Amino acid sequence: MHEASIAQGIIDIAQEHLRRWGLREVKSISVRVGAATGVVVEALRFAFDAMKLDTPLEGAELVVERVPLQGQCLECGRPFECWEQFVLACPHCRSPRFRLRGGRELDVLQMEAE
Amino acid sequence: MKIPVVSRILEANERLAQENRALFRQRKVFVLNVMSSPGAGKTSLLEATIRALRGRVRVGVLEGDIQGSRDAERIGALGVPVVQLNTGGACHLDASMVRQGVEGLPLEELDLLFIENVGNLVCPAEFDVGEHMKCMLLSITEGEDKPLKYPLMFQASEVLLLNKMDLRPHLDVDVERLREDVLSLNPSIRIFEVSATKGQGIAEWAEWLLGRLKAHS
Repeated sequence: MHEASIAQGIIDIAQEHLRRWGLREVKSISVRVGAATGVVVEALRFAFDAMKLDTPLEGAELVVERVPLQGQCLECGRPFECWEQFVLACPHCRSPRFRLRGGRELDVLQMEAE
Repeated sequence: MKIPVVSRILEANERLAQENRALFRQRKVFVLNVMSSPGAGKTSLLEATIRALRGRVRVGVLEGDIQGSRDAERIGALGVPVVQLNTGGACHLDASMVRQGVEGLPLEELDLLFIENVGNLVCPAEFDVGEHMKCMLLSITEGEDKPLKYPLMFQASEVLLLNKMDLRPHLDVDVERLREDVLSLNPSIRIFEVSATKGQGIAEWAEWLLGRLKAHS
């Protein structure tokens, strides 16, 4: 995956909010990452820590909330969730017909700044 | 102080992609995002497709590569407008790079624009660049296990071209298994078997693409 592009996206969003609120530096920033996005959280942290240098996020901690892949089978009707990036079939009845309910999240939720 | 943000991280790219799409609609250009591994034959496919469409539609090409301009030179030799984009290490094209690139193309004189993405089976599928259709190329030399290893690319694409079919007699690849796995991931995907360098299947693909273009406009 392109964790560096995502880290840059987080930094850009934080800087925009700093300007909007008239604040100077970010202490921590919380993001939500769904399992089905394929984002490797360790690689995201590595990229974020490298790219935050010389920005108002230099001292910021990245807080990651992981969300499992969630689905609902259209054959047996049962919901399921797992930490895989991809699911090819319902884990209960093996049907390939299911609807993804969650796991594609890639959001900044909030930040602590002063 | 705590500040609520609630913002999608890739939103900036999605917004720019929508702007690109509006620009393409206004200029009446149908745009294909062509994705594959490095070496699957994207540039050869474009060369063959451009020859097959010659005199029927006006084609332009945006070439995305990490470095160099060799692909743009090959396309330029066919006499079609081409712009080379160098991502400088980035593994995919994004909407802002595409926007910069199309500024160098005479969009109002084009009917069809091919965007040749960076060779990569993972990241390009995640980044909308404003295209109307995602088109994937897989050479059969890559092996039949690729759909189940890189499912997102196959799920996101509307059409799959299986390239280098002329090499099939020399390979152990199970093309039927490959097709079945692709269809299990994406039951509505259209599959063509082609050889970009030998010309096999290119006419059929080019006709389908023309039909798709007419249906859109």
